[in-house]
Amino acid sequence: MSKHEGRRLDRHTAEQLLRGAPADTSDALAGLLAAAAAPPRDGELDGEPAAVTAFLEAARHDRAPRPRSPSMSKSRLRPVQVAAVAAAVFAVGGVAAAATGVLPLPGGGATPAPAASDHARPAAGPSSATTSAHPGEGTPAASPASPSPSPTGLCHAYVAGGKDEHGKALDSPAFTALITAAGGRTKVDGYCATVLDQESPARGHGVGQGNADNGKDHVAATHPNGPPATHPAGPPPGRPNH
Amino acid sequence: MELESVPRRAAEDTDPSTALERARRGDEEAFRVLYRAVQPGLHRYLRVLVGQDAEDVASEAWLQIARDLTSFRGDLDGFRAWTATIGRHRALDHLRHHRRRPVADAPAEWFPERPAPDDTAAAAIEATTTDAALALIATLPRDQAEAVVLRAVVGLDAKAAAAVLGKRPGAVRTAAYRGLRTLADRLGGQV
Repeated sequence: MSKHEGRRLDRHTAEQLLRGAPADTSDALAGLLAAAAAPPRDGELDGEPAAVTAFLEAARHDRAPRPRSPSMSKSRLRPVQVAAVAAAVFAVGGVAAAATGVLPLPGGGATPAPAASDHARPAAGPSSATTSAHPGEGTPAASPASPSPSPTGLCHAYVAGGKDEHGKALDSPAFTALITAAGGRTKVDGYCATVLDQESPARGHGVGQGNADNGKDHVAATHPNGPPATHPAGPPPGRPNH
Repeated sequence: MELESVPRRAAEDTDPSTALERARRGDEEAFRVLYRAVQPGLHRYLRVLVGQDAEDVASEAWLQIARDLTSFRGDLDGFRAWTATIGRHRALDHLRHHRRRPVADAPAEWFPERPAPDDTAAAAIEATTTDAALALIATLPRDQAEAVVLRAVVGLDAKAAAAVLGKRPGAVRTAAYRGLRTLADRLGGQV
């Protein structure tokens, strides 16, 4: 193929190089990869204090008593109630849904006033977050051209239902879209954890910023402790999506 | 007993594998160990995706990593893959947000038959700096660049890299192989 080739890099050698093993060829290439993987330099670890602060913050939240209100945790919402909540969510963003054919994006979930500005910003945030919440899916199940479904409100309703109720709640037709968006029933927990997690902190702001509104933050923060296998960001072994 | 426990404790403190479990239980020092072990590779992977914004994107990724660490299950390799996945999502969000193409999404395909652009290749041959190496890798088509960096820099095997990229391991192997071949050619046929 190439005219100046001496010895073409074969797959075996390439694999050795990729593993960082000494290969019997490609001095320049091996040098390049070694340089790319060289030990950390000054500046590369500058983010450590901020990361540690976030870590301590998260640890503090985990140890704190669960903020879920007693009435919520004891008297779990029945599917019908959950559907009602979901319906309310739909009503808030109904216009948006009708216009775009996708799920509405309620601004804060708790704030019912659908001011135009409330809609504008989350549309860019959570929706992009949801499309990327699934490591195994190169392209989201929904049409990539249209705004992806970002059922933050559904997640709020789902999470509010209480953990034990989740399985049954998913039987409700109201959550079909949520299951679809999450990529399966078992993934809804992790999916919602991510979605709600994305929702609360202000974008691009530093550590501790999300602390101001503990209400939402806590609901999301309690969730990542759910079943680990469903965590959306975990490395999924061999997804059947493709 | 005291004397013996001190060095063992010190060794534990800097071993990322054991740090993972301790960090998940809230140990700050263990988290620092993890950060130092993972951040360089993560940062370089993000460099290939978002260029100069890698630092910002890495910060965002670490916020999420710190928050979700308790839900992670797996070993250190799995943790590298998990953090790379989070970083990748943050990077793609970042690109969408700024409506930019990934750095490694070279607008023109690279043709191995053509001579390499002198500036980039020459710089990479002479300067064995990390920056130059990453810059050259970033000139590959994105799928190849990602595959090469995830494997050779982040240290993932083909299966883990495939999970990060949402592809099959075979596709990632091929992409990495093609990437290396192109790089070898760009380095002036010194293979």
